[in-house]
Amino acid sequence: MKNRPIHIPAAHTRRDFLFRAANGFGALALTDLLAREASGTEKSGNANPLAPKAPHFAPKAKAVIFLFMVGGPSHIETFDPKPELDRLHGQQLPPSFGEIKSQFLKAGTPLMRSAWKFGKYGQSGIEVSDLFPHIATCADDLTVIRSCYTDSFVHAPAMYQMTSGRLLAAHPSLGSWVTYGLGSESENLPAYCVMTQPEGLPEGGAPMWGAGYLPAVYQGTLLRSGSAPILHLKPPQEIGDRQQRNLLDHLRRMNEADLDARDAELAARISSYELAYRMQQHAPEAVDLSRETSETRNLYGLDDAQTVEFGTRCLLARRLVERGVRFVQLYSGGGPVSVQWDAHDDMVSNHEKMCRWTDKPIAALLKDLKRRGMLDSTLVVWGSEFGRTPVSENGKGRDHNPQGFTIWMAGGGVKGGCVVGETDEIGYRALGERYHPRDIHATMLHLLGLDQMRLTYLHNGRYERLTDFGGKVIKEVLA
Amino acid sequence: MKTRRLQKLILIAILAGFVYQSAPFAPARVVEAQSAVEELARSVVALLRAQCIECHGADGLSGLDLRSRDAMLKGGAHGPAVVAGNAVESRLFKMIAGQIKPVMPLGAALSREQIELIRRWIDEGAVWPADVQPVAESASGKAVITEAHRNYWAFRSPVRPETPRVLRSDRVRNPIDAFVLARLEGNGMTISPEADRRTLLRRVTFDLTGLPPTPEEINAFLADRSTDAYEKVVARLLASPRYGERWAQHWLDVVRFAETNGFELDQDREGAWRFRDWVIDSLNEDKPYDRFLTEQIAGDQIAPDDFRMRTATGFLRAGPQHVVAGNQDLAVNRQEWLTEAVNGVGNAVLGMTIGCARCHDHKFDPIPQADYYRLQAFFASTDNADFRNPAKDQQEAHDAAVKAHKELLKPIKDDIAAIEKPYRDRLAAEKRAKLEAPYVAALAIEEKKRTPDEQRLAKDAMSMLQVKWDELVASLNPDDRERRAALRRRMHDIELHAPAPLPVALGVEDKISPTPKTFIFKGGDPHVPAEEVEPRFPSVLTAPDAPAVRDEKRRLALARWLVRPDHPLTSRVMMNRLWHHYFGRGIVATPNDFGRNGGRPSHPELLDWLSSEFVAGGWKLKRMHEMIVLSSVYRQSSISAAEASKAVQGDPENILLWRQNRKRLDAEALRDSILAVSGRLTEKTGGPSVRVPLDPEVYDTIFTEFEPDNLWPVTPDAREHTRRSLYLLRKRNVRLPMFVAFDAPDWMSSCAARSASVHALQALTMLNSDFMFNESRALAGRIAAETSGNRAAMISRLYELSFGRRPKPAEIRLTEEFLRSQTAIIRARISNGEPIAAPEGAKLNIERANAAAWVDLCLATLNRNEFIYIR
Repeated sequence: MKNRPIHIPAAHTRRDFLFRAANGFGALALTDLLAREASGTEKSGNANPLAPKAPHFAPKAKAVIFLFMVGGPSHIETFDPKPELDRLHGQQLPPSFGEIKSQFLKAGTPLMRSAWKFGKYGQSGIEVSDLFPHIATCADDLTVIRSCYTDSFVHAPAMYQMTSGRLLAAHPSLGSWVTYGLGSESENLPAYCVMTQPEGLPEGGAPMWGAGYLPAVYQGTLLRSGSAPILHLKPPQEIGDRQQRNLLDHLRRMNEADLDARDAELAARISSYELAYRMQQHAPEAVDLSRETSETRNLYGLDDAQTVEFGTRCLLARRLVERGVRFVQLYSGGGPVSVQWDAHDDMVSNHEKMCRWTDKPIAALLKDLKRRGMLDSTLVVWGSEFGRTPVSENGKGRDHNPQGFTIWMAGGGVKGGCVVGETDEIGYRALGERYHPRDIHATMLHLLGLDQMRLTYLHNGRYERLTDFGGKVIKEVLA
Repeated sequence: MKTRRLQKLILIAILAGFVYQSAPFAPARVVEAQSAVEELARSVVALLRAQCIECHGADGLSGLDLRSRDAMLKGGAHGPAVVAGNAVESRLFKMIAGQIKPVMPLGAALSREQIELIRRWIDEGAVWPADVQPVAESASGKAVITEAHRNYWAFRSPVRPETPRVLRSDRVRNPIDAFVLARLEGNGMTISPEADRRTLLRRVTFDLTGLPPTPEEINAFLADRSTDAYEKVVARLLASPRYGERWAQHWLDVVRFAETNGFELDQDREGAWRFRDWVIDSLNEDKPYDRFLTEQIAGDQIAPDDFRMRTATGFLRAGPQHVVAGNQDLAVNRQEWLTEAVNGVGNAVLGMTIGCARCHDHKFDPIPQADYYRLQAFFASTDNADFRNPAKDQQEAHDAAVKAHKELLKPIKDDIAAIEKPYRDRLAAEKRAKLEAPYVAALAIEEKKRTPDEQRLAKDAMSMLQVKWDELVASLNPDDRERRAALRRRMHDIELHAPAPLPVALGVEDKISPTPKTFIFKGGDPHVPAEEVEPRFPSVLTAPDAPAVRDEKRRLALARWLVRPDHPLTSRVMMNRLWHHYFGRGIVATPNDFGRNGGRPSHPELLDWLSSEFVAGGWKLKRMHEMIVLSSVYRQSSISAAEASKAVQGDPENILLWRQNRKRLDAEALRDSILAVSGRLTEKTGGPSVRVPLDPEVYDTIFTEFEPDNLWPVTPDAREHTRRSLYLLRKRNVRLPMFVAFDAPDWMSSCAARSASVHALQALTMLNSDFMFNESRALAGRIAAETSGNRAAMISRLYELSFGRRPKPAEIRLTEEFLRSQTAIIRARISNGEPIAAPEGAKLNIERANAAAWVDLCLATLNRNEFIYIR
């Protein structure tokens, strides 16, 4: 194997950490693969395992874009203002609150106020902090849920719970359940696409978009911008398009010669090659942002080194949904602590940066979906594995707080312009009706026309469900 | 030496003396074949369980309990739910049909077929399956095990049934055939003709070794006209080390073995591979299954100083484990450990979903929550133990090697530090300059004289002054960054050749002393203990008055109980696993669930016969493998689905086994076969796991907060990269794309039966990955080297290697056409100056474009259905 490495050596990594500013635009190298549109591909029958399936009842949303902020953004600094903390700043936690339970804090660190002010926005007057000036302009589209909680103050288990309902990574992720229940509207793209932070993964790693015990067809597919958005999408450079087409035609002829027409599995395998071929042709087009107007590109912040990376992924998310992709999972943050929302040391420098990277792109996504008439059928969720503690850590940071935090939803079937639930005066615990990931998942499935109780899969003797023994559909969220 | 022999003797004595002192298991009743009425009843029960009993179970809403016929007749607050024989008068029917609102189930109406099913069932008298009963509850709210529960088929000992007499006695090679034929003949059917010899050889070779037969093996078999030619092949395969490798993989699936912890850090378990080797060796030496299990559950209690015995107990810590820094909830961590251990035994050995009873009484099986914790009590003092017992000179040699290695690294590390120093100092100075006054003041105070507030400020200040790796790397000028990166690469190269760690057995031992009490935890929450329990075997499997287990070696007692000759589950579960792998479906279709939610056995007498035979034969697995693959049932043809529907209208799923089932190669067998066919498979048994080179996209999915270089030190010797898949490092959070695409398990929970999904990403991996490209080149080179280079001979060789047969004339014609058209396309690429492929190795005396077309032909061949499906 001299003229070609067996595999690309592992020391070479495409993790472009730290070089984002320099690389920003270059990463979007344009491809003309669209021009090489396949001729001679035939429409397959119904052998596609991801063919659309009927929901249990009329859905409000057809697709989901889940914006996952890795590491735990502070609800106190973003969507859940706590004036009482201004008063108690620097003081010890009043004993009535008990003890703060978090991963790293030792007792005795003082309460800390938010460094940002809040304003009331839109007709609804939803409170959003100065960290999110762009998202604030979408206030009337948001339903902010302030009383969420998870069961672990450690990243990975809490992440697994937010994506699969359980603290262990052994269960299928939300996107897997949704594609298992609904299939996909796109034959040319993976049904469930995942886009991670270029600097690295969220703590939970690949199991976060894994199919668990569901068949492999339902797992998330990592997608990148650029000319090879999916692993193994492009043939080796030694195999050209015509050559591959001829190879595939030969393969099909041979497979068909063996085939018994009634054998669905063999037929499915034959058509999987045509699906793969179509994916090769169409995926690069789907991620080719050169087709977008400069107005749209600028809306997402592609003209700004700070926002180009996440803006690109938000714009890609819209393009994917537009092309029938069912579930897009987008992670902001991953890899080094400094590139996560995990502000243990310094709330200000961390959140200023992370919000700056994501605020404009997220607002653009909501506005762009809306003006294209897609927001009504696309459920957008912004959330994380937990929020942060009202007391400080290491002087200016905050530790993990799963006892009460905020997520928001917008679009497909969501009321908008409303706030649901609350935390206590200092933002430590959710009060009253609290919402577990089970409830969030039940609500999302409901909006997609799926009944959490009927979406089951028999595994090791148990009819498993995303919401395990069942979550509450959060009625206040529904339009 | 003497002590070792003594140990061995004691061991044999222990293993031989396995008659545990308690009442014998009840023998099985004859299980009747399922009648149509029962089948309807079972479907309804399944439907009610899936859709209704969530709300209408014990303490059901509106007082309605839909878990038994009696409860339904009695009904709830609104009166009886069912009037037997009269659906339209039954409230249950009216509500599911929408005649009474709200439509049930709430928000999730049943389909027309499901409503019709329930209507028919009520109209036909609402017959309840005889052996399905809800877990009754006593006055105290505790589950009560009744005689009916104990009578469930899987909880009664198998009784060796008489071999039935059948019409087609000419097809009976051993009793297996008689049992299968008896059921077929009862339905007016029979088994299919025997598969042709090539098909049979391919099938049995894959099933026993996970690899295809070589052309030489095929020719030898075809040439052997003796009557026991097939028997000789089976004996050869069972004696091959490849057998242990193949069947170890099935066991490792069940015990969800991997070599990292999972979760965020997903740390390596250095030395975990020894458990994999222990399984391979045990299977290859045909260790009796009772010993195989006993050593895994209690090897350390049998021979505490025996390295291999310690290794075996790795079984109890094969699952994921959350290891993370910071504040810990020790009670929760401990509960997680115990849960993994108990579920491991429950799934793998008992084939029961014991884990369901962790938080509440089992909903479907008679496993009260107390029984779950009674099982946990067997592990109450057990925890992970890394066992090392190096000889003195071994330790000294190791220490010296480590010292030398460190010295080798030191100058490089010093150079790196020297590059970093000025940057580090500057960054630290900047941070110090930015430090706010209170922090500066606190730092200025002598450490001992600081008040608590000042201590906190000083501590926070220290953390603020820390220079993070990414800040440092970002601050380097391009030259220094490159110099540093080069030094780190050199450092990592040297680290690859670090001295091998001293042998370690990652097992368990009883290290928690005194043995903690075990409590039932309400809702599974370790902070809400209820009553205390003692170690006891599950109630439904023991006599009502069975005493608690008082043995000091609790796990050994548990193991002995599990391997009692009359245990109703242990032998059945294992025989069913074998059957599952040979026929693509178990006699019980849910190999990890023999409970009520699981499948009924399709051939209960056969399962009991196999189990009895297995135990009577000293729990020897090879003997049972041999018996199955020698049977006519195994050897029959897997004729196509078209013939299937013509032949048998009544059993399209082939439950009765009137033919063999076609099976898809699993992910590991697929990769191994490709390597075997390309000629690059490195056959070597055992040893440390291999890290193959990763696609950069996959490398990037390794999570780290630290500098992302050297996260996957590729095994230096490239020959290791083409070893069997079983030997590739099992990292829970990072799996090879081919394994992920082809339904390999995630090693997070026990996997008894793999899915076989078909999707486009499989095709992309099979067409475009470097692995496939390189193996295609190797295969093209191989067929050229092994023939005269003559086209016909090469095509023939390609078919023999890939499919175990010669090409048909039509295939030769199509293949030649393809080579011609592909060569023409590649010629155009050459004239455009585009790169082309070349076969690996052999110098071909043919045009370059034609040679490249052969590579493409090989790639197409490895993608063909016939390559990936075993008939």
